[in-house]
Amino acid sequence: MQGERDLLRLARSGNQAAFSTLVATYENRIYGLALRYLGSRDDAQDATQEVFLRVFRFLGGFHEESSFSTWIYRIGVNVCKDMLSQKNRRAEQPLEWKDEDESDCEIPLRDDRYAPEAVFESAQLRQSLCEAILLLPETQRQIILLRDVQGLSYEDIGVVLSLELGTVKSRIARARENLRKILLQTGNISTPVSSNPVKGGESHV
Amino acid sequence: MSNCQAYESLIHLHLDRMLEPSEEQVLTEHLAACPACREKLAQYRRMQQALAELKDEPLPAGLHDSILAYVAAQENGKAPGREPSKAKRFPSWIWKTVAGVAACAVIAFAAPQVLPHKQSADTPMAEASAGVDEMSGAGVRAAAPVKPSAMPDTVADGAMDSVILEPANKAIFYHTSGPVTLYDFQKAVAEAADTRIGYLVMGREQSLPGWMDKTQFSSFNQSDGPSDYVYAPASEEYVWIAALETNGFTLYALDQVGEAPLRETDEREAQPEEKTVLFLFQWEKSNE
Repeated sequence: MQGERDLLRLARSGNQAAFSTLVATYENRIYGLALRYLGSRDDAQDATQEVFLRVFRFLGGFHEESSFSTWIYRIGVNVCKDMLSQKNRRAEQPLEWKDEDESDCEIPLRDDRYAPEAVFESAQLRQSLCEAILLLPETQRQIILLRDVQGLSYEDIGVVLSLELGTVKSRIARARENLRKILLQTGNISTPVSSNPVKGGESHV
Repeated sequence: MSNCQAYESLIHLHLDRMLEPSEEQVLTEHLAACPACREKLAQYRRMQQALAELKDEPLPAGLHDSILAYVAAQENGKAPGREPSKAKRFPSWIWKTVAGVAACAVIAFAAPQVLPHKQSADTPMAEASAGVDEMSGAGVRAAAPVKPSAMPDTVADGAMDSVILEPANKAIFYHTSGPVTLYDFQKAVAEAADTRIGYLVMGREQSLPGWMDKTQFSSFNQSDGPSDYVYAPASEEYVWIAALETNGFTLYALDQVGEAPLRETDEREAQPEEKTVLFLFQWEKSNE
C-alpha cells in the first residue's frame, strides 16, 4: 500500500501526525484482538498501548519484508501472550474471571439452559463465543482470533505466528472444533441432527 | 459409510474458500450423503459469522489519545523507530550508564578467565557437564542443555555464580539472585562487550526448567519482526538483550534496540519473592 508506505516513512522520520494516523488505522484491530485474547477491557487497553509503544520503538527495524499489518499483529499477539502469562502467574490459575461487570465475557456456563432444539440466537452466541474463546488453549485462541475474528489469510497467519501453512490449517481446524464443542456443551449452538447419531462422533452431546 | 473425521479438515478449508475444485467435489459428495456433517458445517458457518461480528468492537473513548500519551511518556520525545545501526558496537547509553554509576551490588562477575577484573574471591564456580552438541542456530538455543541442575542449589542474595559450559559452546553462565535492575542489565551488557560475549539472556529462575523449549526461543530465530524475537543470523556475532519479563524474557538484538534503554526505569525490578537469574552466554564464532 503506497499510502501506508509513505505514512510509515513519515512516522519513522518523527512526524507525530503520521504516527497518530498509524495508530488510528490499527488501534481498532489491535484493541479488538487484545480484548478477545485477554477477556478484559482494562487489560486490552493496556495491551494496545504497549503494542503501539513497541511499534514506535521498532519502527526503524521494520523493513517492509512483510506487510505492516502482519507485523503489528505479530507484536499484538506477543504483547497479549506476555500479559496473559503475567496475569496467570499472579492469579495462579489458568483464567481470571473478573467479578465486575466490565466484561461481556463473564456469564457463567449455562448447562441448565441447554436444550437440544435450542435455536441459534445471535446475541447469545456472541456472548458465549467471547467466553468460549477464553476457554481455548492459547495457541488455538490466537489462531481463531486472527482467522475468524480479524479475518487474516492463512498465509498472513503463518507470518504472524511463524507457522508453516500446514500447521496453520490443522490448528484452525482444531481450534474451531474445540470452539464448537464448547458451544455445544453450553447449549449455545444447536446439536447435529440426530438421524444418524453414531456417525459423527458427536452423539454423546 | 465414510469416516466423517476425514472430512473435517476439508470442511474448514471449504469455509475459508481454500479448497481445490476437486476437493470441493469430494466434500460435496460426502455432505450430500451425511446429514451429520451437513449440520456440522452449518454450525461452523454460524460460528464463523458470529466470530466475524466480534471484529467491530467499539474503541473505548479516549484510547487513541491515551496511546499517544503513553508512547510520548515512555519515549520522552524521542524520534520513533530509530534505524538500527548495523555496526557491532554497543549503544552509547550503555557506556554512559555504566560509567556514571557505582559498583553494582547485585551482580558480581565471577568468571576469572573471562572477566578477571570482576572476580570475587568467594564466588563459587561450578562446572556444568551439560554438553552442547547442537551449535547451529542461535546462541540461546545452543545453550539449551543448561538445566537447573547445573545451577547451584542456593544462591545468597547478591551472590553470583557462574558455570562454564564445557567444552563445546564456551558459554558462560552467570547466575544471580535478587532483583536485576536495568542498571545491572546494562552493566552486564557492557561486560559482555568487554569480553566479546555473544549472547545475553536474562530471566527468572522459575522459568528455567524447560525454558529453552519456550516458543520464544524456538521461534525467534525465524522471526523477522521487531517484536519480542528478533532475527539474528547465526553466522553473525550479535549480542542479544533479554528484557526481564514476568514470565521469562524478551529478547532484543542490540542493533535493534539502538539508543534506547530497555526500560526507562527500574520498574521491571523483580518481585522480592522471586529469584531472578541473569545469564550470559558466551558464544565464540568458529573461525574456520
